[in-house]
Amino acid sequence: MSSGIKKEILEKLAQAVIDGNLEEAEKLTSEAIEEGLDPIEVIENGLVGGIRVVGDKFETMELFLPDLMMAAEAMEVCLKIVKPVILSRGISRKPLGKVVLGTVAGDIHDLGKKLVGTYLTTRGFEVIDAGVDVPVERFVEMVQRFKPDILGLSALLTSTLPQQGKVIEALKNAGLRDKVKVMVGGATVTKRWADEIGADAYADNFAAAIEAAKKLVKNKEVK
Amino acid sequence: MFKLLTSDQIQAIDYASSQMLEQVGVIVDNDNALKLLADAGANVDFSKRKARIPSYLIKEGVKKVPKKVRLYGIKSKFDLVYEEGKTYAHTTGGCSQILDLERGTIREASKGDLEKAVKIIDALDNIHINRPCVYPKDFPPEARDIHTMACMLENAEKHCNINTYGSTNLNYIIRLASAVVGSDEDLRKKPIIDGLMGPTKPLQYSNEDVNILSGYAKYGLPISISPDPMTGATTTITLAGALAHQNASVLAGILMVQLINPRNPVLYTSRVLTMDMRSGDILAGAIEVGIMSVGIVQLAKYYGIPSDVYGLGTSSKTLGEQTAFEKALNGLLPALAGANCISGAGSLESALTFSLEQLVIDNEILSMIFRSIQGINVEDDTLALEVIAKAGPEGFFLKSPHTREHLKKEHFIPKLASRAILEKMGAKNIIEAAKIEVKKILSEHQVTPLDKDIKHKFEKILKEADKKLIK
Repeated sequence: MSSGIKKEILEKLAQAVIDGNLEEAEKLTSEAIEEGLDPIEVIENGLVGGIRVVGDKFETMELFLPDLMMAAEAMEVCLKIVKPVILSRGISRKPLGKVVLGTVAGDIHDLGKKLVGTYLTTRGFEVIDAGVDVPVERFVEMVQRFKPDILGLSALLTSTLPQQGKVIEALKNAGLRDKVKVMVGGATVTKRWADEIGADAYADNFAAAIEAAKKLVKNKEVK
Repeated sequence: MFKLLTSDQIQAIDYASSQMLEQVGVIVDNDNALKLLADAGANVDFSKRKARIPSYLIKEGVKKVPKKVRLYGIKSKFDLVYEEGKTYAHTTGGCSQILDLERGTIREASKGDLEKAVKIIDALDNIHINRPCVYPKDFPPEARDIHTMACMLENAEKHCNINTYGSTNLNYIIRLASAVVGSDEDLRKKPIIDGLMGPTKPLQYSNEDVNILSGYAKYGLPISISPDPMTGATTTITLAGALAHQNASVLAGILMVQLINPRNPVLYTSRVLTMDMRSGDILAGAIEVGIMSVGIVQLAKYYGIPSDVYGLGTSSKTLGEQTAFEKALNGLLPALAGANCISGAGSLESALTFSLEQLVIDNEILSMIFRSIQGINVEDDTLALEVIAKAGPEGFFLKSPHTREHLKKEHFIPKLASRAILEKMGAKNIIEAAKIEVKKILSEHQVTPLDKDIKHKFEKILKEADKKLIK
């Protein structure tokens, strides 16, 4: 296949992601794989290339949250096609960073967490969503299993806020505290609370969460 | 009365809600409630925790709701009746932060702030109900709702709305209120508190949501059912869909209340907010909030249920112009539509932050809103033909007895929004005047303190609660 045609397919794929056009993106991804394009290139230039444009345009307020979500949705759908190909060939891809996000036990609010997760995906992070009402032990398990750079704990209710402190304690007891940066989030989270429980970063709104995550990855020395 | 929906449109929304309840269904993660719904005739899947509710059941539930709701003040002069034609106001609820009066910066709220807020609420004529406006950080997190309620009941004379973290905590709050009036039975007869609850998502009632609802119903307290979705996030971006969605939510909640305690008073208390699609921030001051509140009021009237809506909401963090125009517009619309209660007084930043000065300014805005509801009185005496004839073509009315007689009946005399008053107070603008007024109320207003033995009971109850709940 000529490099010109390869480039065209990837450009079209990137555009489909930007448009949040799931069907088109899926079709083009399958086509790219069938035509023998390097799956890593498909991800980097097709999917991530597209989503990065969306992320940039979101920051300049040209595109809105629904655009971001739909683009991320398109990317997810395509990754499902590409990942098995990568696994079967034994090659690997390095994301910018790995993040585990979850809403603490007793709390089932997840909107902020979803937004943060989606946005981080568009910036090149691999995001693993632990879900809602997640018990302390499960967070520890997930840190052990996935070895993320950042663990994000979300709590909206003031009554579930203490759980964030408990997770940090549990990480200490498991000897994992220094292996991961912990970020706490929620509308009622404050700097004082974050300092009190020994979190590495905090955010009480979506924009602040993104800034905090970016800083944490920049400063990471752990990995 | 101001309307945005025609009766055909209301029926279309009602129909859409019934389709949702019958086909999409409601998650009710509570065995007892699922059983009640199943026994009543709903199609219940216990393993999926889902109830599909036929419209005839919903209609039966709505029929049982009392059309009038009496809310009692701690002092009887502050008793209220929610009925057609009555509009009241209350403060916003649940802020974790407060605008510091001296420094003008935002900080976490303390017990002292709550006490001050309650005192000011008591002194303001246009705030009729206390809502727990701040949850002080110096109260223990596991029992914060209980301590907050104790502080409110100790310092208030008006009716108090309660909110709670869960059914265990609720029991202690009930005991506090019962101690004030005498007993559980006295509380049932004369509820000095009413209960607020909101499902986690419009069609998702969690186990605790239902426990709280049942807890209120057990004591016969009026219950405010308050789903609070955000358009484009937890409900549709389109307003009609959001209205139908929240309506389905409220109707399901009403049915559950009526199955638990038939004829338990209920208030239609939805809050549909919008989200800034550029940042994810909640926008309580968006005009769509006021527009949807009108829709909510009209729907509540359609079912014959009293309504409580937003209101004096703003997305701004500061006192000032944006705050003023957002609150004025969003407060006026639902009031003109006939809402029974307008919420939001004292709020800033979509109810994340509370402000004592803003509360005083909101009191002023509410005066204007209440005056506008009163409308224009047209009768012989106000057409005043004789007065005009007497004044003749030269027309000087200042010295006419008719003017003095009707002045206060026809015109709202602003407390603060008057250049003369501001000058007298030494205030440059209304914000400064509000600050001065806050300090004046705090130093001059008297509230009758709670009886010593009731205070003792409070101490005992709080001690027990702390022991049981704090880990």
